[in-house]
Amino acid sequence: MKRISLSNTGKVTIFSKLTLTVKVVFPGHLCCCCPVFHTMARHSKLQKQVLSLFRQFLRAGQDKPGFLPRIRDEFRENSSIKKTDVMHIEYLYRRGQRQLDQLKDVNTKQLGTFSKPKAER
Amino acid sequence: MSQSIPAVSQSSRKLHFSVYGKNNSKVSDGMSTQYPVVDHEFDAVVVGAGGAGLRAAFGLSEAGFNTACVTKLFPTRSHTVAAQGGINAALGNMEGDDWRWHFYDTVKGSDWLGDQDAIHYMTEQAPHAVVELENFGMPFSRTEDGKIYQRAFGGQSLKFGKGGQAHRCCCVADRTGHSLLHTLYGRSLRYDTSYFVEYFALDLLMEDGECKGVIALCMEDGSIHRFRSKNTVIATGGYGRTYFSCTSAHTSTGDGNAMVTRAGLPCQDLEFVQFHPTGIYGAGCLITEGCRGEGGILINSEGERFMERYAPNAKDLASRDVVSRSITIEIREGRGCGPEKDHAYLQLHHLPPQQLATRLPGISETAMIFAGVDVTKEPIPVLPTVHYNMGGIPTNYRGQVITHTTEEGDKVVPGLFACGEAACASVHGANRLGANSLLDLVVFGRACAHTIADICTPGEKLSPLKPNAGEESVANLDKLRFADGNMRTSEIRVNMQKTMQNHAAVFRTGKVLKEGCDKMDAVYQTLDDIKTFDRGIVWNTDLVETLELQNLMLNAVQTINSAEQRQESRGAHSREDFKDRMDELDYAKPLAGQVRKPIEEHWRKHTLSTVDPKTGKVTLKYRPVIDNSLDAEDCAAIPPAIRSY
Repeated sequence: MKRISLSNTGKVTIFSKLTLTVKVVFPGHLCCCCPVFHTMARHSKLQKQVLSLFRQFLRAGQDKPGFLPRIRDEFRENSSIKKTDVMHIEYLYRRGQRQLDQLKDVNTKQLGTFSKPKAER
Repeated sequence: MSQSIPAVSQSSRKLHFSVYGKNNSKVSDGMSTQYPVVDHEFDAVVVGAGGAGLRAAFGLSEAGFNTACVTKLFPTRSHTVAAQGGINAALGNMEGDDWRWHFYDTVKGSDWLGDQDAIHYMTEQAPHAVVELENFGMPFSRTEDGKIYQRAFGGQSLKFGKGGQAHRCCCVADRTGHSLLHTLYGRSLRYDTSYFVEYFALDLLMEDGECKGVIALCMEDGSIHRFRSKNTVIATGGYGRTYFSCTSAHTSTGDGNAMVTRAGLPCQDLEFVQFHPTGIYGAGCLITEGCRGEGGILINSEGERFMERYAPNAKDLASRDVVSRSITIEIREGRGCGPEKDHAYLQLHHLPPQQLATRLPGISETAMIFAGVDVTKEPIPVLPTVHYNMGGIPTNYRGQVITHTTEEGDKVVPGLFACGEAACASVHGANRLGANSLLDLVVFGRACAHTIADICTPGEKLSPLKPNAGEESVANLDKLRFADGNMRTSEIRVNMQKTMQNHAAVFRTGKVLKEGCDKMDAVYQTLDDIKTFDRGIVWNTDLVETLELQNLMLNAVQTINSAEQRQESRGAHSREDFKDRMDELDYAKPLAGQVRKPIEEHWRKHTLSTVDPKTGKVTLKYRPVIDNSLDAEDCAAIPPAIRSY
């Protein structure tokens, strides 16, 4: 029996004569910040750190109103930074850690926002 | 200029507040400017982390309060670190001493404008405060038998002025402020105060005349933070930077005074600005009064020790305003030193070099760096330079901020306290004695903490605050961030500084002051035409400098308007057209048979100034001086007399 070969696009060749296109759940993973399906590329150390920070943020912001949407917005916005721009990512990571410490502090209560439509200016 | 469109739109600048994520349907994402606001709740918030702020913060933490300390500078970078002279306390290590003599000297130094209950409190607590600092580990200079070394300082005498020069200034060589601040910082780390470093406090959160907290900008990431608490302590320091030449750091911008002004509360005695006699000519760096305490003398171009003529008893150690005026008169009469005859010399080379090296190492270094002078060989060129603000936020002797109405007298503003140079207790009155300021910091920092501990308990529930509290501050921030007028921040600042320097200097005249008030008003109006360049929100120093400029302007207009109105000479405020002090009785003549003038007709009263921030118009009211001490039997109040040294 021919080996099942896995490829990115989901084509599975089982028998030499039959080619099925199936949806297979790959041992790869979905990046939670962006809608890209990674496969062979494992997360780099920095990516793992960022993901861990994200999870800690979500846990810390659970009971305090207003933080979760903001956390998601910030991470989503910064996900467009290139993987190679390590200086920028590390700077944001350090800043994020300080902000996380502040979020975990018992005296921080809620996150609001003052917003102003640009049209008025 | 009036034809062009105003730099900022005058249309309604309403900001919409919501908890992040909810009710956002009105505002479409990506099309609006959003300022995230983090809310914090504490039992007490201290604004400023200099000597007074740190002492108040860890005093509160020690008493069990959940305290936050919001500061725009790292604590050890606050301007307290630059203080050189020392702390006065009647310890009696050099000769017999009594705190009541210190009380007398301070009352006389303030030219009877100081509140004697606050002065009683400060001078009585002084020995205890210094011993407490010593126990914290402050490395005071020592005498041969290991006691704290006390040096002579200006205006200090024994036996109520009749016993000669007193030696009561406890010092750490000539870097007392540096040691004090580092000692306090080290001590503060033992307690669990939450420090919010590099957070610029924008405004107080006031509701129904009560202070419910502070709103601040985090400079690091541009987020806004509201600190809700039942007790707010302001310890933000002075505003030397309203003048072109001053000994203060660039960060001395009177933020606390401005916050209080914008909250509609009055500031007290802002016209009293102290000119330190010995700032280095040109650079403006401070040469401590301790030099004169160790034996240094001031000389004019003829090599004469001119202070002997102006203050026959105290000579060079007369009170600072007397010395500043003397130097200015010598220069005006043509006996100034240097090619332009515009400064005086401070001579130290007649003192033994070992004494200079042990007791005055810092100024030896400063003189070499900033004036290129070797103090063991040549004299230092000096000029009176703006150094300290006696005025500030009016408080009672317990540190609570007060307002005043003629019907009800002094009334406490609930939830608001002030200490340090930002406050006006008033212990310094019209003129501050050297080495009393560091004492003021620690005594009143501790007093604020004690008062809060007396009236509140930790963990009390906070009163409700309206959800969009602080909206005006954020609107102002937004306006400045996108300001697109014609004048840069630095231009407007220099205009203000030069106006103040030229029109409200050591000697003031009615005509020149009036011209200054008009010019200052014009400069204030140019704030509407300001232009900033950095549109970002992260580390926007352009924005922070512009906010500081707004604060400086509010202080400057109050200073010059109060000075113009006060038609007498008292302490540091000397008018050439009104050379005498005008009290309720004429103390130069025998008192029997004199009729006491009503408060409207004399000037022994505190000025209370308020400003309308939109127009820059200053309104002045007056408040009587407190003439009785805390305990008449223990320490009798000093009745006014003629002030001569």
